[in-house]
Amino acid sequence: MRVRIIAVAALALALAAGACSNSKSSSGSKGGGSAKTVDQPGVTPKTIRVGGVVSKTNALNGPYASAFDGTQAYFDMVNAGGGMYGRKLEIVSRRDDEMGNNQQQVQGLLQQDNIFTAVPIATIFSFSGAKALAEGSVPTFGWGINDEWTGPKNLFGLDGYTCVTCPTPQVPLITHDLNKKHVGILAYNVANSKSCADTTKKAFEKYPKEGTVDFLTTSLSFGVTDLSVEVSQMKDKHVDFILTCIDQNGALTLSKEMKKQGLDATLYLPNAYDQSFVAANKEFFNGAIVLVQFAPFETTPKPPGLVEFDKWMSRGKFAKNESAMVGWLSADLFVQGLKGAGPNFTRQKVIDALNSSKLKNYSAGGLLPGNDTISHDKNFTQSCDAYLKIVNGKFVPAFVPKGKVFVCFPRSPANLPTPTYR
Amino acid sequence: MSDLIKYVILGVPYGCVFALVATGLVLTYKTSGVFNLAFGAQAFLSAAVYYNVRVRHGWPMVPAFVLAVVVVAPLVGLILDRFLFRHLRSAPEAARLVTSLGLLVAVPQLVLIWLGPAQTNGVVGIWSDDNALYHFGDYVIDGRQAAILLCTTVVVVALIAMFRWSSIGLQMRAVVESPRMTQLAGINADRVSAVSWMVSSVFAGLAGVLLAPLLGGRLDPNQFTFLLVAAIAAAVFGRLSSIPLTVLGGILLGVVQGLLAGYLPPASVVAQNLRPALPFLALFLLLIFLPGLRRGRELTDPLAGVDPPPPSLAAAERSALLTKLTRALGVIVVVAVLVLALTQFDAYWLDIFIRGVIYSTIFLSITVFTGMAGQISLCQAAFAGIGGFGTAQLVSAYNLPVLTAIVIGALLAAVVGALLAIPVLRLAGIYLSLATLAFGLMFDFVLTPLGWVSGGVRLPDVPRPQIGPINFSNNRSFFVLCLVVLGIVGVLVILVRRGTTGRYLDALRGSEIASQAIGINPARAKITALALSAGIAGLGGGLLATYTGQARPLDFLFFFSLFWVVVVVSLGARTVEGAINAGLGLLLFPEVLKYLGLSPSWEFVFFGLGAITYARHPEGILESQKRRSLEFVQRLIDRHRARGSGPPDRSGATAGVEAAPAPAGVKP
Repeated sequence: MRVRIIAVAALALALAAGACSNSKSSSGSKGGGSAKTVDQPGVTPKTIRVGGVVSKTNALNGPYASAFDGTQAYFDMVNAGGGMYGRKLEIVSRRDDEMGNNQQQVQGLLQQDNIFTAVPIATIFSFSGAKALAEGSVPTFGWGINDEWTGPKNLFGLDGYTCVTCPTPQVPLITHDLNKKHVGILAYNVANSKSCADTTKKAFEKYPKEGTVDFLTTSLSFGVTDLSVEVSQMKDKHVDFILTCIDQNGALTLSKEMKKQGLDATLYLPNAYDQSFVAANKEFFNGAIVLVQFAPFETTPKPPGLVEFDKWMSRGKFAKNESAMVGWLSADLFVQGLKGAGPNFTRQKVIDALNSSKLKNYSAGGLLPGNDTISHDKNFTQSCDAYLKIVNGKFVPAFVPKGKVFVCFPRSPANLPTPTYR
Repeated sequence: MSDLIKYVILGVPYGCVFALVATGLVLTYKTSGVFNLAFGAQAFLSAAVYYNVRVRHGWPMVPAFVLAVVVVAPLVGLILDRFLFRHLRSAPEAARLVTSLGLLVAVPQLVLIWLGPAQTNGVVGIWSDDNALYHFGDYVIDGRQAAILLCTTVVVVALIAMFRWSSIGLQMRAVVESPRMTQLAGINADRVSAVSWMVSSVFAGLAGVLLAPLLGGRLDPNQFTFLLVAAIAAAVFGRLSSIPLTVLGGILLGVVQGLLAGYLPPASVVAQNLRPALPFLALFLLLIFLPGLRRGRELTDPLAGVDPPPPSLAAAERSALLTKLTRALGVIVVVAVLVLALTQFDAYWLDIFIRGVIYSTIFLSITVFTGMAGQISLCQAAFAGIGGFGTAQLVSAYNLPVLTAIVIGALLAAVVGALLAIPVLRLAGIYLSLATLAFGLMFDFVLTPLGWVSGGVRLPDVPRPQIGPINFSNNRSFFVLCLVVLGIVGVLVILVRRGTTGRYLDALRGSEIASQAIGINPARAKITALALSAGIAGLGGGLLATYTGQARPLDFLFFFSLFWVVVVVSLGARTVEGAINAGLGLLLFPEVLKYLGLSPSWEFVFFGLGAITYARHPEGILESQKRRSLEFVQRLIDRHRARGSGPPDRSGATAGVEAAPAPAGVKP
């Protein structure tokens, strides 16, 4: 996941990526009935107003605006059950930070939109508006891939902010399972991408039995379109496993070159859970491993949270993708906070409810692994992620026994751990 | 096969990509006299048309290709010629450059708006199977590369033949050398010009369709821009005239990249810096050291380097009474905005105005270099970045007070500007702009990623300043600070414009040779101008970092260097007021778009298209309108006075409006 974050990060400059987590999909509302008087910003007798900021306009052509769709679908579900405490949940503001204007748009959200809470926040470069939200004690929910999510108790980033410089056994575990020994790592010459490469290298130095890093480059410029020499060198070094700390387009360039030069190595793509992209390039990604931080759409049997997600996304005719899941999970966590706060809810009560121990390991109806869901620092005890293998342009769950979704392991054990499953 | 031969061979196909684009650039320059920075944008347009009909609508390859390359591309070329470049044939080089810059900014955004928000996956080429592999011994190429190799070869041979043996090729070259002479020889220069643009646009369309599948899985206009910049080095290698040398330059660039990738330790510091920098470094060095590059036109046309003086400023032509009235109105507006900002604006609008003021400060750097010196710098964002990153590093590493750090950051930018000015002094016009573009790209792609420059993964925090008891952590007080800084810099710019340096720059802008003849030292004036410009940009960058709390690389991307120039020249590059208009316009225009329910991308379209009016209104659209308004008001005042008391008072005027000459080459 750390890797995944870094890969997206590399995209627009040194951005971040990541996945999501959170919340249970409780269909329908609890606490319906007549609305009690609540004197809070954005709360009217009939509605609870929320607003979000996403990088709708972005250089990556990414469908991040789908985060609003996911939130809307969740609200549709809750509103269909009567809303919360007699009020409908309504997205009144859908702001676009165009990657670089997060601070300004967050100000607009707070000053002009009269919202109770900020949901969803899905910004791919910088969450520079975090300070204003933290100072205003506004409950805030979104994609916790940016550094700014760390710290303030009212910011609930999905999966929290992950340490990008801590060598974990994640990649060595994969090479162990696949019986791969010769690792290649490709990264851009930007900070987050380089950090991804360096951290993974350290992980293999820590667990040397699981492979050696035989090829490492951190000198690629973003947008590289020729990897012929790199592939040639990896071929010479018999690399059989390649970690890509680069974006999807870079990974596609790499895989095309691999095919051209006949390099048979397994690709690990921390940032490629994109059905349409993979389907459009299926001949190049066959056998590649992909990381996801929520229960993948392909999970069978589907956990209850995923069933609800499918149902309400289809009902709203929304596209199902990773960003939509971020929106859904963000909305879910917000609603859990509302429930915990009770009918006389306030912003602070919502924050306190979420920070209570009851929701710390919230699993969102099986959409999340359910460990450290609420976390404001990097001190996770355990790391849990889902893995998929690309087979003929489709994602297939991997590395887990039947009925399980997530592979879990301690964050920094001395020896390669035996994973557990959830 | 030895490693050396292997790396050389691996570099050739990619070198052909550079060669293809570079040949297109040279073709446009040879046939139109325009260094077409919008070539990449035209290529992207054709690639998008091809993608849309081929992938989204399932057309077969041939009709899709015909539509994109044979119909749309030349049509665009015809439109560009008919409505833009034909009228700029003898305009100053800066005007043509700004026009193509405006198109570079506007066209891709228009295309993206047209394509819509849906992802553009599955880009395909013209080969029957893009991914088919063809083996030549140990060497393999795929369908995409085969198409490029084949097309590059055919097109280059055809172009050489056309220029050497066909009458239209000869006519094209003649029109560029001297349209009037060509017409005297009985050739319709307009028709030849139109054909030239159509041919070069077909080339751009072909390049777009061929290259799109190589540039990742999605259509991305930025990729075309990056490629264009790398190809410029190859074009410069061919001195913008020789197609065989250009092709050789492209291939050499590809081969050297292959060798660097092969022989430099891939994770080494040298590799991390040198590999991404190679195209820009090559461009920079070629521009500086290639002998005889810049003087070519001036040798054949003694008046090529002589531009007519720009029209005097509107403010210089009004009467004393009108000057007083205008100034009073200005004071009222400033005070009103200040009062509103300090008492009425919510945090959102205050944020907009603070940024507007900061960007106005940065834009004053363009006022100095473009408005006063008449040169186009395409690296102002890099200078702002030097100020911003310098401030952040000085505060975090040396614990300096933030105001001190901002000032040192600005000085650092000024020093870099002066150092940059020394090698580029021998360049002028398009070549100077290209050198600054190369520097800007090197800064963005090579220096910014370095931890000691930007801070790396975790950007250092930049606090707000405090002066004695006044703490600027509050946005309202910080707004006042920014206004004060803007005021000081604005006054400085006015003083420089009215002083010796400003007058020297005015003279140099008209004719460097004539200026030297009367004892002006162009080196000193140019170094001063670029250093001052860089320092002002650095100061703005430091302020921006302080305001946002971090010096974020995203605020100083090289693209902003292009966009900022476009915004400022659209609204007014010659006055302090123009820079302020540009700063506020940059921030307020998105609000207008939001109000109208339009995509933010329209901002790029609006300002990009605004920039193409530069040739007609080199003082900027708003300055031009201001001139008209002042003329109108002046007429009213004069009429009113004529009825009563004698002759009109024009004592404050320095020149008659009517006397202001129109820019050369612009049809009235």
